[in-house]
Amino acid sequence: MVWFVPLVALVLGAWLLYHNFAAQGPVAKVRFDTADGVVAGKTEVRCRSVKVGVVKRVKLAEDLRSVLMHLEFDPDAEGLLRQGTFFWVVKPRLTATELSGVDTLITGSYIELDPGPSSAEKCFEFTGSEDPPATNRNVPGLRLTLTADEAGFLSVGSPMYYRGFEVGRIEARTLGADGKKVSYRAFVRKEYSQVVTENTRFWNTSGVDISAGSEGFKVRTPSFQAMVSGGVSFGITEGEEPGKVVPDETNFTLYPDQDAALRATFRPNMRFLLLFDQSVRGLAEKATVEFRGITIGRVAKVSFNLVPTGGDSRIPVLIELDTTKMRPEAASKLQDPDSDFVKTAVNHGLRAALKTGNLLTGSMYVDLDYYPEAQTAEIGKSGEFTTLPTVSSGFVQLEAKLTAILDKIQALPIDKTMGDFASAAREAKTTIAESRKTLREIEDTAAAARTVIDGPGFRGLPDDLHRTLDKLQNLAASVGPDGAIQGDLLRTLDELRASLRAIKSATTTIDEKPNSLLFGRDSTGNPKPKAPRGEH
Amino acid sequence: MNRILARTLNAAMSWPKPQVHRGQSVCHFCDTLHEGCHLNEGMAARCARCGALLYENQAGSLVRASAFSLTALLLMVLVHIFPFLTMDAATLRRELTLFGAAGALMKDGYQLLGTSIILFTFVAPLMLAGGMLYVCLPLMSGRAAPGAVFVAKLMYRIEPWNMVEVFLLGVLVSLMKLAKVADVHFDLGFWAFTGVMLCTAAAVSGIHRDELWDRLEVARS
Amino acid sequence: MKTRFPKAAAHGLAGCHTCGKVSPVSLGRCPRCGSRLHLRNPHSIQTTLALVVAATVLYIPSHLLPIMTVTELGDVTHNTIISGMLWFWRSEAYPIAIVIFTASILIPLLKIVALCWLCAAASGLVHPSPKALGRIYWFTELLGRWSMVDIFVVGILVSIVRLGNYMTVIPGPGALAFAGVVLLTMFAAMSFDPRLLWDQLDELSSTEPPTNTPKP
Repeated sequence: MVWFVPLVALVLGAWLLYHNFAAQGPVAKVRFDTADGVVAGKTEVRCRSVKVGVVKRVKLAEDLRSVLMHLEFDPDAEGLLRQGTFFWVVKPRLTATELSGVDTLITGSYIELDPGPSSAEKCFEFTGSEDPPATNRNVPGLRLTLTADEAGFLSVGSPMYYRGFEVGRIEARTLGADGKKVSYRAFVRKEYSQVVTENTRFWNTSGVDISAGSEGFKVRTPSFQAMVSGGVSFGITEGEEPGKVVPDETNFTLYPDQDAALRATFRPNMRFLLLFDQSVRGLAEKATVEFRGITIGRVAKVSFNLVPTGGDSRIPVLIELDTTKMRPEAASKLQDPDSDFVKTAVNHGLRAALKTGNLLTGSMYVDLDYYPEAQTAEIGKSGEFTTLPTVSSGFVQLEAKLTAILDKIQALPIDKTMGDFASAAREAKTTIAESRKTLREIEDTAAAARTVIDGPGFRGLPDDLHRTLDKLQNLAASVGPDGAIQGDLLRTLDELRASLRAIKSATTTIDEKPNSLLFGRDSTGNPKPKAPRGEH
Repeated sequence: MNRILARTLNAAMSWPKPQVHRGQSVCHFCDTLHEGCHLNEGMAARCARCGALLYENQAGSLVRASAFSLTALLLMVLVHIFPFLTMDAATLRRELTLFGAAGALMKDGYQLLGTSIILFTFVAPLMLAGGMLYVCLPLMSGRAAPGAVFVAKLMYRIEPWNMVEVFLLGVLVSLMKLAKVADVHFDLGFWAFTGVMLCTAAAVSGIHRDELWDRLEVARS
Repeated sequence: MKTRFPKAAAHGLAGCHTCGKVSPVSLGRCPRCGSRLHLRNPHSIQTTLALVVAATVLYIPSHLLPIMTVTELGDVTHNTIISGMLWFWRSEAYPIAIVIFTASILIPLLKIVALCWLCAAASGLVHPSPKALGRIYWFTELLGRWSMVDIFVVGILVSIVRLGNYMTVIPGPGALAFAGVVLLTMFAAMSFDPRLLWDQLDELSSTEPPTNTPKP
């Protein structure tokens, strides 16, 4: 009958309604800070860019501080709603570390979700965030926590470097509960996770690193991106064992720079207290303690609280020494409580002194050295610490030296010297006066001599001299080569020469025939080689 | 139980004539007076002069009217739950509903047009189908619902203003226009509305006006 | 001839417009349904003509003014009924173009013309055959409502095409004018009493005026 028609309509309608409403997927309530860019009924919910639901309702939360959104999901998306599922709004983003979501300028924002771990239980109420997680949860890798004293220039998205390679990024940044420390969540990609071990150290390589310490100025610049957005480097210090590979969620300290990280390899195991009777201005905590240039420790604390009693105006400085930096035998002796190694050393003049590391910044360091001329002192005990004797140093010492010089100068017999000078000057004065007199006499003599020279008698003198000279010349000429005397001399010389020749031949003969003196020359008739005659 | 059923069927099947007046009919086209005659089921009376239909005795008219108007009402519920069309363009999704179309016009300042859409596609078919059901269902057992006269009068007054089929044609034309721009497809609302159109038409043509009024008069007396 | 076709009016009887019951017009209201009884619709031709004139007046702006404005990525296009139809034609959606043409351009025009003609015939100015008249009247009554298609299309597009900057549709004043045309012609057709036509016919074919027939 025709009543089938409404019956069919009823059944069909009921079925359609049921199918539409009951087969609807789950609804999740997510709390966001704002509903910026989200339109109820239109904004989609996506997982890995696949639509899995739609925003059904947007309303202000009761506390008027946040927005509650009802998200309706497709039925097969039920498995996505678990504890740990993360929701965020995908909007166009342009920051120093990121450019993303530009297509949402045309299509409108959407909400993206990152499902929690499959082992987690179902959950239907969430709190969403305006920003995406820096790394998708499913990307395999190592997740660590870094703790630092100051935030510095690091932000979410800053890269992590190992030997210059970018191996991860900072995911999140939170201020510690006590407000003193900053915690970072860092992510290191799986390929590089093996590199992070127990003894790895992390330091901040943000910006340009200019440090002025007792070694002088140092300027270090990292990659451009690290300069812009900050970065973290990590590595093992030389000489250290890498240790075991660390698991997820391990906590590390983030040092402000590489030097601090290197210094952190420092493991102090001995402490001494130093009392300085001078200003410690320029001595910073963590300043080095050196022994003749080798860093063996650092300044732990500078505070009046270190000494139990008051009344002492000396400044207490607590130093820590790392015995591994010393010579092994010294180290073991130091650590041995029974040995009096320290006592002996002090007796030999071991003292602590403050020296200026950097003239420009005035930073100081503690120097342990032997001072043979130091005053005798002993190690002492102040509270729980052993005290080492100190000497003043640096500028103070310079001051002392200058003072000493000045004293010396003071001690000089200047008055006497002055007196001597005065008498010498007086004597010189008289000498000069007399010299002047002598000079005058010479002048007079010279004047008289001139008059003599100018006089007539003197004129004739040159002629006389001429004659005398001529005579002398004749005399010389006769003595000279053309002179008669010389001729005579020459004749005489010739005669002498001849005589000498004769004697020479005689001696030659005698030489040849020693018996010729007795027997004369042999004239037997045999040709005998003869020495050549008179070679002149 | 059987007696009520038998009585209902009897009342539904035959056309009771009011006892008071002579069965006269007037052709509403040419005003020719006719003497009323008893019609059997399936018979129709036409004007002697102009040939226009005077009245007819349809088989199971009440039943048909009631059933179809009920169906129309049920389908109208679906019409307003599901959208007519869904359009996807550049990851934006828009859905067409009856009230959405009227509301959009009203929001843009064309309140008259918005109201007229509501009137012609929601109010009219609702009153038509609802009124038909309200009047015809009790008539099946020979009873007149309270205020049935008023409802029936209203129903027939509003009958020319029922434009469900015109709206459906409008949806088709819009679809043609949008198909180039976006990905459009019919949704459940459209098919339900088609059902409403067919069922309303079937309900109204299921029973002749004169028959309904005669039955009503008899039931009231 | 007259005796073969007795007129209810001649007998002072009128068929109720709403329920069809034949009652003496002197009752004033139909005893069955309570609607007013008229022998003829009062001032039928005048009302009809007035409405037809109003519809004609609105017809011109309804086609000149845009019925909707489409903004596509900043590019603003004003659509009139005719431009919409031409768009469909050019897009090779010929059936739709024909439908739009028939419903929005042809039908209102024909309706206006038909009503004018009917009024003329009822006033005795023209003398067409009754069958033709009947058919024309049936046509105007039935098809008039289909002209509302364009209005519905505008409403649908306005509500659905809200794609922000990509594409947006807003209605235009032409839609209001056109809705006015359709409604006015519908009212005009409803206020026209077709029985007047037959009266005219009777007047023509008879020598003596029928008694008790009130002059329209």
